[in-house]
Amino acid sequence: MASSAAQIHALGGIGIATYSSSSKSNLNSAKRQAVVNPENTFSSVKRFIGSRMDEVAEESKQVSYRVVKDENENVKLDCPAIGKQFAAEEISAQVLRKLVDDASSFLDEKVTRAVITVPAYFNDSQRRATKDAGRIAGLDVLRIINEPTAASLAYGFERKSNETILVFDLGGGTFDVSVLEVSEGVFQVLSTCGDTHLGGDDFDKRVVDWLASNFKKDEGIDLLKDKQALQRLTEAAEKAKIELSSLTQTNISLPFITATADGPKHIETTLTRTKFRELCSDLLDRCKTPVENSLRDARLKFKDIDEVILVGGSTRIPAVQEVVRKLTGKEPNVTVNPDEVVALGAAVQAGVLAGDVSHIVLLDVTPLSLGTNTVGDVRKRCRECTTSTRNLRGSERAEVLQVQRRNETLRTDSVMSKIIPRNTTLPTSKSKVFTTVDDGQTRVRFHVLQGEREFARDNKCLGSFLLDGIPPAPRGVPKIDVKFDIDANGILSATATDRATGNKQEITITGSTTLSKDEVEKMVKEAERFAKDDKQKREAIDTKNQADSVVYQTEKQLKEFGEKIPGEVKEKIESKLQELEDKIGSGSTQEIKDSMAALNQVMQIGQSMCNQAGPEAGAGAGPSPWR
Amino acid sequence: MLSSSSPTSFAHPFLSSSSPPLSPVSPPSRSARISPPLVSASCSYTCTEDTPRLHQIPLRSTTAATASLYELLEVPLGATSQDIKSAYRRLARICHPDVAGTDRTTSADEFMKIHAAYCTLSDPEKRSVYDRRMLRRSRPLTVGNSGMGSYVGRNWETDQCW
Repeated sequence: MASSAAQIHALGGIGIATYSSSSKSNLNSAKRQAVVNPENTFSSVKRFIGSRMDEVAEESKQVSYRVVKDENENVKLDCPAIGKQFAAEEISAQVLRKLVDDASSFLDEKVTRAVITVPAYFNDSQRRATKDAGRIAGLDVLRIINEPTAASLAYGFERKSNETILVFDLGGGTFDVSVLEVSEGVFQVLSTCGDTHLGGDDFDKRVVDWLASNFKKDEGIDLLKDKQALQRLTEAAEKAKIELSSLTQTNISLPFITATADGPKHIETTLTRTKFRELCSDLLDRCKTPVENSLRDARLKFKDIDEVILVGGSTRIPAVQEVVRKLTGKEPNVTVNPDEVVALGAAVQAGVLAGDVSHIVLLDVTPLSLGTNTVGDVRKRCRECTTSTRNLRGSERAEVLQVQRRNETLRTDSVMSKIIPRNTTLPTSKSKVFTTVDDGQTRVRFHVLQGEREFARDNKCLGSFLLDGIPPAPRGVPKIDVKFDIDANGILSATATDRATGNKQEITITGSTTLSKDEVEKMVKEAERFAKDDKQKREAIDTKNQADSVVYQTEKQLKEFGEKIPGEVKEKIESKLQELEDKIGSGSTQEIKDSMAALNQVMQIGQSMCNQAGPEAGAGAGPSPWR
Repeated sequence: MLSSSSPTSFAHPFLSSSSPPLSPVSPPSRSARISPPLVSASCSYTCTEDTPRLHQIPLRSTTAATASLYELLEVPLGATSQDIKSAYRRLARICHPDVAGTDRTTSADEFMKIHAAYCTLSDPEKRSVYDRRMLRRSRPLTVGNSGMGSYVGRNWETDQCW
């Protein structure tokens, strides 16, 4: 697929166990392609992964390609060039595969397992989708870790001191803040917070909108409707943003941006740092809340923070640094490379998991609360209501479960009852007691919810399961233990047990909510096939290049040492050489390889002849050039 | 694909000279897991405690009832908060499933117990409540078993939120 018209770039901070800078060249070539072929060039795919259409409505309007939904309301990315709709996982898988290939050829070793990083504030569904992407790319995903945590690992890896650090990670599409305590090799995340819809792309968008609205005012043409113009605007905006990190003002010049009956139209303007800051002021404000919240959750004050570490390309924006400085009262630490540090951290964690790195352990947290749907706490809701809690012992909190008989979806008035609060250290296992809301109720449907919102339906539903066969009893009497476990790999499982009968129902949430298991299998196979094609193509190119160089070397050596070898050997070499040259022109990869082997054989004969002839010719000084 | 290049490349000085720079990279210098004594210590720690605890909730209460939170963290009763913190870190470096290596489920259980103990003892308020209870009962309590005898199955959870 990579060889077709579709190209992929920018998964932002997908870090992979081994960092390879050559992926950047791919990114640049894809960026160039984006201008001429906007509908078939995918960027910022990370924003769509593991999401449903209604969750990313705003983002889908901001990209140059078409975002559509499938029959299950899940996001698909349309690629008209090859007439196919891709899941975001597939596109991510292509990026991962490219990174793995680069890493493999750099290390000269097959890379099969990986640690992949995601924004800390990703929900479970987005994480699983990322894991699926890894699987589609043919990887065994050892662990999904949080980007700010990974950054702290890379930062604190060589340090011995005890520090409380705040990682401020503003990337291309997401924003994360984590507060950690780093000491004695233990990286303990105290809290994490973020905004999955805030990043460098939003800053670009502000500049694009500004340019487009000015143009509309002057010329009466809406450039935002023209995909190609929009792509050029976006590129110019990003360039201007980057330049404003080192200059106080920059020129934006977009000749022939569009044309009317009067002729071509151009954009020629200047953007100052002050104006840029003004355009983005609300985005800058949005950076503040997660910082404050994460500190509050960690029960710390700004003075308790020893270091503020900036991660992600967007932290190069002076206005962002200014916000951090003002908010924390500290000079942010810019010693780490904001683009690479996350990948380095992922490599450290990969080392820990593989047993290559010892004396380090990462204690990460779950960023969002997990719970289930209830009608609320009985004791809180109606003390005088008939639902009785007297059967429950003092310290037990009984909550009335929502009645769920026919309707599988969440009722609008059900609330979320948290079982694992956010910022709980993993692995963890927690449980709560629930009871029924109706007399004689025999079945209960549990929804596994993730999020911080009061009402169940405002949170992300990760799955649901039904506990059946509760013996009929007055409401409030049955006692059902609901236990949530998250293991060190982040796999969540939920169990509900009826105490009276010991009946148990459980659900392990493994697949992503956007792709079924079968779909993932299919994609794995497809990707493997593409990979095979790509590999063959690459092999053909490599073989050809190699053969060219063999021809060159042989010719050179024949010229230099030709007279030292007997005529018939020389003839043989020349004929084989000719054969190889012919094959390079027309033959298959295998034929080229065969000819190279044949040439190699006669060359070896020539080599030994030359070695024998060597001393007589008096060329004995130094190593023989034939070797 | 890469191996196909080797027969020819050895014959040619130009090509063969280009291959050595790669070779030192390929044999990965996998240093063995450092500090075997530490790991074995972790084993002895988990083994003595773990066999009866696994999935056996009733058994767990009887065996674990003897271990106070202080004993779990291997600190004396009057330990300072700094002592507790560093004991927790030391144990985390041994017990966390990422580093424990062998049996991940047992080490996860172990780690969760230690973490729960740390959560109670690192919070001055919770610690004083726990200390008072311990005094009153004049016998140590289990992790998170908040004294409600009928509720032993939940001993990973302290009744406070953490």
